[in-house]
Amino acid sequence: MQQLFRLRRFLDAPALPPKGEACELCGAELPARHGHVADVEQRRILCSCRPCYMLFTHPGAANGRFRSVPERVAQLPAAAVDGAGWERLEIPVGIAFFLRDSARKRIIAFYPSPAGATESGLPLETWTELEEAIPLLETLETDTEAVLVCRRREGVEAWIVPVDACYELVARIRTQWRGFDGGREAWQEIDAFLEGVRERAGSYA
Amino acid sequence: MSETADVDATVARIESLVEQLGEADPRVRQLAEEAIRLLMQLYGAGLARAIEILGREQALRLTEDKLVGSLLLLYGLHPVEASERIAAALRSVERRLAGHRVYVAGITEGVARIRVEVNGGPAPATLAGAIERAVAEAAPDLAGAEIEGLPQAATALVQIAPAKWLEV
Repeated sequence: MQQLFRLRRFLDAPALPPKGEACELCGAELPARHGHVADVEQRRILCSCRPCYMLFTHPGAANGRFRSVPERVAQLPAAAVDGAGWERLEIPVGIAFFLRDSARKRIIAFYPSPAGATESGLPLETWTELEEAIPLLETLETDTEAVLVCRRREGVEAWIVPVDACYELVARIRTQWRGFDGGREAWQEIDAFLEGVRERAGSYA
Repeated sequence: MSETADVDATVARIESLVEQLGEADPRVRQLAEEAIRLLMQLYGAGLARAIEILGREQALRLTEDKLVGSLLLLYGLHPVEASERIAAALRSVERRLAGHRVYVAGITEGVARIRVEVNGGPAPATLAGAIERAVAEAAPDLAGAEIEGLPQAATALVQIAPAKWLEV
């Protein structure tokens, strides 16, 4: 029983200061607000410091393995979106994002689910038609940007967003998603997220 | 007592695990220690509330249990003052002595000053050790004990190496 008091040293130790995040490319300490680099090969998003971020803004850097994730958020024009036939994209749960995958040379659709993002391929001709209707879609960066589409009773909204934003959304709703359509908590989370997207789109308009 | 052995073994196991984590990665050791600290704090806060709810009389009953008593000591929540706890422990030491008296003279800077009054025959050679053990058990929150009044020979036994060796 006498040894019990040895645990006192844990209680007496000073609290550990919270460690800031580190750049996943060079290890430098990161501020809370920092950029991301996509590892295209591993399909991972890496937190990065400004110098590393700048290194991979070039499309050909690191043989294309690492690509800096752009910061723009651009709302697609509502009229074009309404008329472009998003219903043909068959978004089953009202929210999805699409990205141009360089490895597989196709457009991939992601849907939220309790297990994370479920992905499915999209016929390329459907996408080509969409691009014709909405020229802004042609500016979509490969691997590092995504088109986020939200279809509600009120109508369809769509944005070009950084791909890390989509990962954030997936992470936020993974723990909340219930059943097929997600449930109320998941949609509260999605609404909060979309509010942030609208704000960022506004500041880029 | 098997319960006592379990507590000591658990503490040893915790320390060994933390040590192993430190060997793998010093940062991991820090994180583990922080997790232990937070968890212990949480339980300590709960224990403090429980003592508050029970009040002193009921809390005293808790101290009769060795494990609970030790936990209260660990968290500095024991309702009995260190000097009183030591006095009680010394009384049981005294009962085994033929006429000698052992009592707390005071507590100075975290060290209990224990006075021995030798009556009649010589004090047993093991007395200093017995007192030190009793104080350590009753008041692990103190730094230790200083014994006054024992013949020099008895205290000299405690010394492990001549002081000169340590000065080199």
